[in-house]
Amino acid sequence: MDLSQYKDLFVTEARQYLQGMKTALDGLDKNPACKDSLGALYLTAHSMKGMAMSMEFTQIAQLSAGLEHLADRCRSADLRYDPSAGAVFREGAKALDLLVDAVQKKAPYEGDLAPLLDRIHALLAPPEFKL
Amino acid sequence: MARADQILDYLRQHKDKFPLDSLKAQLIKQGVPEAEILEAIRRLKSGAETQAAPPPTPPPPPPPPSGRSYILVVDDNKLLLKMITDKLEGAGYLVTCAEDAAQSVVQTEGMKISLIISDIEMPQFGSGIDALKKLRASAHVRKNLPVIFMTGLSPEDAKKRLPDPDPNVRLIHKPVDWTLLRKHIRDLTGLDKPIDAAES
Repeated sequence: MDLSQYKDLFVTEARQYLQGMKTALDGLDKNPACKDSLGALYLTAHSMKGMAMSMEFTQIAQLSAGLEHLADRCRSADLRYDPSAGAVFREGAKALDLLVDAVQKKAPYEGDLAPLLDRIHALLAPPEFKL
Repeated sequence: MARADQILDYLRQHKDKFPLDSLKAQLIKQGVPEAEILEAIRRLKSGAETQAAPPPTPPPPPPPPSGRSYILVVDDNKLLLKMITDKLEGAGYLVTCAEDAAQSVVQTEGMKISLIISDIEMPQFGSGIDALKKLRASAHVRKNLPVIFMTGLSPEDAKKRLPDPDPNVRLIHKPVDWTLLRKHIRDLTGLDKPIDAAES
């Protein structure tokens, strides 16, 4: 399947999802327990992941999947949405913006996602195994 | 309690919230030998398998419907909707699309629908499960209309959201495996076109 024909549609849709993600984050700045905003945050990350996987944009899919898991844990009240989680989401949204820019410009992404992914995985880490 | 049982307990306790790979990584980080973890995972999986209900027996595929019969594709993501539609149409299927459950009902009025292919997660306008319920409740489609749900959720999460076991329902994961989708279409409708080879 020639995926390049879908690139413009991907960029358009991704921009809309990212705007939705930012709106949700603004809502969570005002009320960190807002279920609608947490649900919207999860949905936007989930949708970004689905599109990116189908388009084989690995970095976008990987980062979106991390944010999706994080949002899922927050919306199920398994993890508290606090300023440190908020900062990770903001940074994730910014990185996704830059990744979509790179897709649009057909240029490689110059940033390093590893530190951000490490922070996401640290928040998602399971509890310690106690003998 | 023996350590092997403690590891198994730990996995059972957290498997619904964390991927097994992540739990395995945590145990390795804490110095548990990989062989013990793999054995616990094997026990966990074999236990789950023996407890699982047997899958429903699928009925024989119906004969291909006569007349112009459409596949309804439902996804709130325009990109994925277009990709799947292009692929199916490229292979020769007649396709109609909807972006949510309500639109799917309106869209199919007066049309002969042989199959629904629907995303599960469309919370903004009603999920794929809602779409299926609405369509099956409407007068113009068969009550046992087959459906293939697509999902980007983990297999565990996806199964939790599916309706009760139904021989006319299948599940595939995104990104779509076209060969598997072709098989499911064939099994459910008797129709078979080479979507896994067609270029759109």
